[in-house]
Amino acid sequence: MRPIGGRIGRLAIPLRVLAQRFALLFLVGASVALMIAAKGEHWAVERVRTTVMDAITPVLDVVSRPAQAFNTASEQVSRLLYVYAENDRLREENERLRSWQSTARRLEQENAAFRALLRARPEPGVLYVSGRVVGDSGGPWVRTLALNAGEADGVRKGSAVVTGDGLVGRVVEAGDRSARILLLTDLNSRVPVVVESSRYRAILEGDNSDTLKLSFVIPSDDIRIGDRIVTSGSGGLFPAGLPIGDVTAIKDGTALVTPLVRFDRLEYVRVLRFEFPGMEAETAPPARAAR
Amino acid sequence: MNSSPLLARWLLVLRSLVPAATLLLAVALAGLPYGIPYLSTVTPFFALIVVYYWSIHRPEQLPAAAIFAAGVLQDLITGGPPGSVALLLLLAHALVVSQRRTLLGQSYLVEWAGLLLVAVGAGVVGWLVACVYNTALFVPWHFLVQALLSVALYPIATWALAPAARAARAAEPA
Repeated sequence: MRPIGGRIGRLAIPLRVLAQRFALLFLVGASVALMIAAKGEHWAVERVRTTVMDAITPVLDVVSRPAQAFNTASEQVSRLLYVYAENDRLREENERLRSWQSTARRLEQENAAFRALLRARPEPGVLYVSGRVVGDSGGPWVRTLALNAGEADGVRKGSAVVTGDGLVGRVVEAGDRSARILLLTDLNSRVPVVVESSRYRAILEGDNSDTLKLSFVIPSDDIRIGDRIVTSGSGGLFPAGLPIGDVTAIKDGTALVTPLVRFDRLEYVRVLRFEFPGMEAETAPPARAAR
Repeated sequence: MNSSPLLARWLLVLRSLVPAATLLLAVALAGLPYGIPYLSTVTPFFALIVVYYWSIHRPEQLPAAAIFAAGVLQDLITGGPPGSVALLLLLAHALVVSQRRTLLGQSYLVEWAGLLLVAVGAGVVGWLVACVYNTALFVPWHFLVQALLSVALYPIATWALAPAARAARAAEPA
């Protein structure tokens, strides 16, 4: 007679396989359910996201440093290789900028005089919070960045994120010590813009590719290659006049804009703390690195 | 001495956690900013490589729950829709485990070719899910290039994971 334990053992194996298959099926279902819940922008999903990011950002901050140190070193080597050509280019640019500087000074004084005459209300003040990029989107699904600054530093959901070159995107999630930035190139990015020269208003859309699409622009014939696109300030989320990019192609009546910012080389960015006139000032703690 | 069986037991527990730890490392690698032009949209699917490897060599030491948790963690770190990476990893795991007997005794080239099929399959499914989920047409090349980069990295991954596999094997009951 066979021992009972052997029979149970034989029975247990298919049962275990069945349980494993059921668990797998259940987890596949749970993944889909999570995706659907996230689509509805459920507050719990956002809460979990910010909590996890707050916990993991210090780790990412440390781990990302060697990669960025390597990038900095490689960039320095390439700069060294092109130092003469770069010097010539900068001399030329410097001369051009000097003439612009004198024009800007003259216009600044003129503007101040006109403002005084009109008793115009001053533009809202803009403060910056600087943060380091510690995380990337890591795949084709989204175009986002993780930042090592959060609400404790003065970062707010919806704030514009810029570099010296122009607009990067906006803050979509702000934890205590971390924030998630939605890049201009993301599929869900929509920014109200204006064509700098003609002052036509439009919406700039991302589509996860490297270029942006100008939509809702009515007189498309008047948009030319080389036109500069800047924020319009409509909606009060971003200040007006932040440079975004230049029109580099017009395909089937749609203007394609190449951003000024090189998203793959970002190391430090600045989050704007912009208070639109008429909006109530938020009771935010002072900015950590306001400049 | 009483402490050494206890220590050996702890060591065994730690070794059994090696596959999950390598998966966690792969998830962290996906979220790092490398600063390499055009890489961020086609960052190799590190987690898929690791799941493929363990699903062939030690499937019992990488339970579906750990794969699910790692996938969700990657989504939370990278900002993608939570559940999307977990879904792809679980489907890949299920496929590889079902074909494990076919793959196990084969040469390394066959194993590598198997990853090509799984990664391209995950790319196609990922692209379809992304399009349906966002009701928009995604750039298919990003998914395909990501799959091919992941396949290209497999020799390095197997070289790096071999000591981990030895450690995990030691944790198996005799």
